[in-house]
Amino acid sequence: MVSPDLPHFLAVSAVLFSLGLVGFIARRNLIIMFLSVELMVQGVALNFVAFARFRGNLDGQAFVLFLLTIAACEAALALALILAMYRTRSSLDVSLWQDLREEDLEQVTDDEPLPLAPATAPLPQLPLAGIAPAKPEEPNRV
Amino acid sequence: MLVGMLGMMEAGAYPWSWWVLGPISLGFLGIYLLLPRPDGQRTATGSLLGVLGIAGLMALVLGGVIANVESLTFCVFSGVACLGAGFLVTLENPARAALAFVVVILGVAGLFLLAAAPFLMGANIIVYAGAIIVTFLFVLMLAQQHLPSDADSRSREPLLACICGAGSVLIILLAIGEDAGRTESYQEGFEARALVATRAPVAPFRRVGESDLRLNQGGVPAMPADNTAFLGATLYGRHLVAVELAAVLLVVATLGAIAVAQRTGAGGAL
Repeated sequence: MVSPDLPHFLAVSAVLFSLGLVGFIARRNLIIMFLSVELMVQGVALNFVAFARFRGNLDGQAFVLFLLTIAACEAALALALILAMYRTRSSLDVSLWQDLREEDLEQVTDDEPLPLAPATAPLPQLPLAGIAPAKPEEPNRV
Repeated sequence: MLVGMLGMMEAGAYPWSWWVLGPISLGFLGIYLLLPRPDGQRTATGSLLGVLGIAGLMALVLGGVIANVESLTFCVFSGVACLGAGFLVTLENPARAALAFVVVILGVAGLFLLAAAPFLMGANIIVYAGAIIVTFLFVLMLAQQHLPSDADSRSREPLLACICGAGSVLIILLAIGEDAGRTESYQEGFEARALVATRAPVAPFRRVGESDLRLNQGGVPAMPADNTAFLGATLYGRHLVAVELAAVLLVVATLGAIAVAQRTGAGGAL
């Protein structure tokens, strides 16, 4: 490869777009779904910039600026919505909202149990009040 | 994982045609194994596939005949972007996923720079990595959940999702490969068009004379040189109405966000 050509940029953005697609479909956290959408937007923006570069005009870059604007608006609104949804159901799980589906669609339930939380380190035990805890002596080698 | 696909391109072999099936299926398997599920992610196998992809990429790149600085930086930036995207999709902890998105942003910003868009590189980093991610992390911290939760530790139809993504990338790459087989080189066409196009991007606002253009040795205008000036001229000349509309949209979105996020009386208890 002499230098990156248009198809290379397009291929990278295709990969980014598809990964965003997978993330949007598969993940259930609302915020990660939204980040996946932003990932797809990045892929599209890369497409625009590459086309601008190889067509030799700047309309694609101007379009990416508008894309940034729209992404900012979208982020503000989506985060406000996510916050409101979190307040209502106190979870970011999108499957809690499946009652918004059409009525004839069956509800999806989770069969497999969640794994147990990883064991955390036990809290330190405080000594009785008034007794100074034993401190390890530091050897002094002056 | 999907980086292996880039390896195919580095070999200089577009039209890459059906050869992309190999790396795509590697990436498909890697993502499928790495997606969070209640009985634990197959981190070892998925990462092994990823390492295989990267090794294949490196072998292809370094085994290629020509490796100049531009193609090497392109490989690095695109590899960083794709790896970050893989992490974003598969990491269980949403805060880490948000940080992986920052990595994607940095990679894409590097690609912007390679595609002669230094202003957009800065704007992208400032807007995304600076503003949007901080807001995201803020909301994440507000809605903190302990880790094995329904939202983070389960995936919805991971197999179908991965098939969907692999199909999408396969179709796009095949289309690109066919098109690339038809045309000789985009670079030559670009150099021919750049002479025409950068001579006068927008006449009314900024008169671009020959003295304004920085030419390289070949007499071709160097694109990144006056990127911001040209971009501004394009933006405020040809797209002036759209700029005003974008301003209106921003105001409306701000008002809407405030209205939506407002706590209404006794109803919403956090």
